[in-house]
Amino acid sequence: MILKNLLIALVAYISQLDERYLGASMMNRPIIIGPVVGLILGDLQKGIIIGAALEAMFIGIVTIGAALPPDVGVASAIATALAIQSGASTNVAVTLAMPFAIVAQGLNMLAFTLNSYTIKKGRDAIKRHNFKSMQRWHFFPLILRLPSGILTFLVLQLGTKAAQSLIALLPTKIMTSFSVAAGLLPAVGFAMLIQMMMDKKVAPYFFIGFILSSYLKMPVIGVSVLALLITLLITQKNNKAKNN
Amino acid sequence: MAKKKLSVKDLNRVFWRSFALQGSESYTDMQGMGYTFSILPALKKIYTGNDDKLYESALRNTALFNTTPHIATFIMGMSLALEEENSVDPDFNVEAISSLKAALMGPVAGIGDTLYWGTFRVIAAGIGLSLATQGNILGPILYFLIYTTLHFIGRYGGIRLGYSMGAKAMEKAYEGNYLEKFTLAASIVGLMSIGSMTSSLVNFKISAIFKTAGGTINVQNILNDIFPGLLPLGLTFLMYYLLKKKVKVIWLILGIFVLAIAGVYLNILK
Repeated sequence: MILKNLLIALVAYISQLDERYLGASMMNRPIIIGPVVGLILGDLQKGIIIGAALEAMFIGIVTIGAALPPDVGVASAIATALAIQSGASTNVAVTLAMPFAIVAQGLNMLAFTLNSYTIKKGRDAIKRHNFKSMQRWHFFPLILRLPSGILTFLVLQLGTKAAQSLIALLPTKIMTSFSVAAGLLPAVGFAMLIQMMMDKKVAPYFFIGFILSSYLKMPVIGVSVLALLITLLITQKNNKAKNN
Repeated sequence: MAKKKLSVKDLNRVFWRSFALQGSESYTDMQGMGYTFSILPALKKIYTGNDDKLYESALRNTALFNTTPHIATFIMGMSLALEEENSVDPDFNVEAISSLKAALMGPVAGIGDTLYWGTFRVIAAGIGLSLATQGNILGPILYFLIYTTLHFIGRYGGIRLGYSMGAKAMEKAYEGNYLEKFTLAASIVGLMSIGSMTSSLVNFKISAIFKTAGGTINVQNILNDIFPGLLPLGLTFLMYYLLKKKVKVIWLILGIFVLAIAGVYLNILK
């Protein structure tokens, strides 16, 4: 188990590097982390399903501008592993994820704060005409990111038994509440995305998308293609108006 | 106009290094040092034999910088074209490069965040989720392929386009209102997908059935007759309203848990 937990801790650590050194390739998203952790623990299927549930819940939690959001990657690694190892349901994973996302967010904020020093050292190196040293300082935060991996390892080593007994203690109604909350939580994420993208001019398009799926049950692929076609029509119309 | 000094190979190096743009990101300087790290091989080539200008430029480029990482290469390409002019023109004012970067990071982030965080990722996740919720491995794979393709097109196209057009790129973009059109198109596609997924992923149904003298009343059926998805939509916009009122995300999440527990104990939700 120690080896598996170490591997999952490594996954959590690498997920933290995604936005730092891997170009924000979105490999730290639950939809990827879930299956990877599932594969390590020998239950790929459950990993995929838990990853999907977490992705739905966290879909609006993204890094925009300077505000650091809850850390979805570390939380997904811990929650998926705890749920699979303790044989708990997907809904438990969803509930477990949130507190860890917030703890890991704290670690990220700490790294962001300490990096003021990192950059100062990097600048000093340039002033000394030493590019090698400057580039080393650029990778110094690899060390600052280690606590997320350590946190993951410790939680998995100590937490699996605790999670099992906690789950056994919880009344059925509380468990049902978690599953209800898992269904409601995507609303927070979508609200964050709406806040980022919506102004009065484009507001109706949100509702067009909503109605297509709520009344006609159109899947998201169909809605996206339709949206592309609408933007094409609008551009054509604008160009015509300009030519006249 | 200075003669182009950078080869495709040099630009490729900047492209690959730009993945580490946010490595040393801090609250005070954001992607500052990452910017210098990304363009360093290109700077070394541009300022070959002119160490003073090389170190001046490397230090100057560590100034606070923050934009959408996926298309930050567009600004890098443009600023490198200007660095080239600086390398041959003794009267060149380097302030122009700093102000170009500062002027562009906002608008580029406006488009980039909408495209990459808001639209591309949401659509890729939406398609991936429709398969992944059934435990199908194609879900995560499709998600990754769709997103990575769009990511690489933007990142690679950015460095090539930015460098070949130089500072003219921005004038062109503003002239034809391309930026505005592009942002509008991205917002439309993004918002429609988000609308669709709000309907399919937010699961909020009243389970309570009331018994009256005349029979039973199923609240959810009545709501569905009025407007299917009324509750998910209402809840999402309540969250949106609270976010606008500067309520912290963590409180919204805790509030959702309280709502769920209360709903279950009152036998309204399950």
